Amino acid sequence: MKLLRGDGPLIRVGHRGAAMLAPENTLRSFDAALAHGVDAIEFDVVAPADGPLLLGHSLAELPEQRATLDEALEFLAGRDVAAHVDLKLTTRLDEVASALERHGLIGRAVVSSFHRRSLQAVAGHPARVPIGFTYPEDRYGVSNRRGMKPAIRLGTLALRQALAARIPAMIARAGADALMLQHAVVSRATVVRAHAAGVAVWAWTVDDPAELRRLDAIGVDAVISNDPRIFSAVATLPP
Amino acid sequence: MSRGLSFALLLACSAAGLIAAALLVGTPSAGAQEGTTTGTTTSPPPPPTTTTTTTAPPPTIPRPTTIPAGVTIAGDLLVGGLSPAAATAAVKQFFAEPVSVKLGTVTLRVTPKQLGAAAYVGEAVKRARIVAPGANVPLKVAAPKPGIARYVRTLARRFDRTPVESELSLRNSKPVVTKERVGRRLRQSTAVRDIFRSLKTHTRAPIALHTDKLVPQSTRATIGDVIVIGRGANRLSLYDGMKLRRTFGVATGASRYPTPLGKFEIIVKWRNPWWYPPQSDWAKDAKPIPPGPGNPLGTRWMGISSPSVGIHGTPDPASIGYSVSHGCIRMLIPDAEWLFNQVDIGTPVYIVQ
Repeated sequence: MKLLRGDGPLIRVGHRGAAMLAPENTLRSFDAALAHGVDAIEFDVVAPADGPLLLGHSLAELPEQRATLDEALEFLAGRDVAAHVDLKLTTRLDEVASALERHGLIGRAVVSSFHRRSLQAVAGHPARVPIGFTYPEDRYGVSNRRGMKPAIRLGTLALRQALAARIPAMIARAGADALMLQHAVVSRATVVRAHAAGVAVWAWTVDDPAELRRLDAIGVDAVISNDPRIFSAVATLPP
Repeated sequence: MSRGLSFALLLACSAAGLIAAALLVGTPSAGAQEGTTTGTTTSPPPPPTTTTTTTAPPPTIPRPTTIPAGVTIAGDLLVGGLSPAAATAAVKQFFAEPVSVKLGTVTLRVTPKQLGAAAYVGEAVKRARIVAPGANVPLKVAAPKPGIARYVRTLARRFDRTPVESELSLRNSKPVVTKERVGRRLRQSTAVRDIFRSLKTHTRAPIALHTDKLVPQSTRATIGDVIVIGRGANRLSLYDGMKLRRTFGVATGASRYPTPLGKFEIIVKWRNPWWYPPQSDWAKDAKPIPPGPGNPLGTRWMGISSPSVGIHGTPDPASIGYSVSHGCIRMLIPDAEWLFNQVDIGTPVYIVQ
């Protein structure tokens, strides 16, 4: 898919569908995201011990109305929207790639993970799905935890300075078509360096229209949000 | 020629006598197979075996020899001194004693025959006649597992109980949770094994049946939080199952934007949400409002499974108690923060008149 915005508008991505508006990682959530206008829908895929791949942030967090990867891709294939598959699995990776191929979604899909080897396995599939390297890994969800906000902010500001310098090395190691970066660590220098290497910058997870505006202004290609209403709302904010 | 004929007659007569004797030996076993009496060893010896249709003297019928003194069969059954026929009857009766199985206060009896089991009685008695006095002769038993398993399946049909889940409903604007019932499942393979062992070892002590408890997933204790919102009274009550925990004053939809009635659930929870103008006439000129004082959603948003409707805090405490919102359920900010920490995604929300 088109991972770089080029001269066009920011690519709007719904996080787990539209997690703010409906149960995340469900088709209902996909509908909610589409109702507010998104260009792509991000969702998580897990591998249960047996049975088909499922949508869910982890096996312990499967939504009540479960959807299989196949059902999700079929839903997206029938609509004018791209698929952003975030891997919450490190096995059965060929299944992910072949499912995208089977639903004719290779041309409008991207697969992301912080796990380099998983990404390389997907990239190695003959379907040639574009891949995005996620950074930093937020394995414990600390960025959502109360009380962590000030520490996170300090940490991310430090990271923001350091990250730009590391971008070329990160791109070289990951071999990715896009970098999926936590929004707070993204600076203009990071975007410039990534673009110089032909690599897109996608920022997650942005629920604040002011932050969305900052990212848009520094040239980020795509923004992933729990609440796709921010994409239309940002235009109405005072400058 | 006449010598040959009389010899044949003699042979025929003695054969008839033998058959009669065999029949007489056989008869007590029928009674024993019924297995209803409880007496065991002391059946009287059979009457002397005289046949009725004697046309010739019966000199060739073998006189029953008694079993050596003190001989037992199957460990417990004393057959020493009995005639083989009496011993056979006794052994048959001994084996035919029903097996009893017990679960709770219920005891059921089943005969070995019903279980498809049989004992090699003849073989045991035959051996008993030739062993040394005081010896014990084992009683072999054929107890095919399928027959026992068939019986155990009938026990399972009788004792198994499917668990019944608690169900939540609303009566007089209060949650009602039906009582759950724990189910049970007979451990069939254990029962088959125990019955089999009982038959093989000639023990007739009651066999305790074991069951597994089948615990329903949803019970009165686990049904958890239930929210009931009275639209007219502008009150929100949080129940733990059927038990009221807290009640709050709320604001609900004005008559032009009524809060929907029905059963919903909480589908999303967000702290410090932004407010975005909904696609509605009244909000067409409104601008998004960031988190903070004055945000129309207060500090917490609990979206329910009705589009764009949720429970949230309000910066306008004066509206509490009135039907003035655009459909949402407003709470005082501290109340909404408290509720937010109690409920989960999936918590049922009833909205009633």
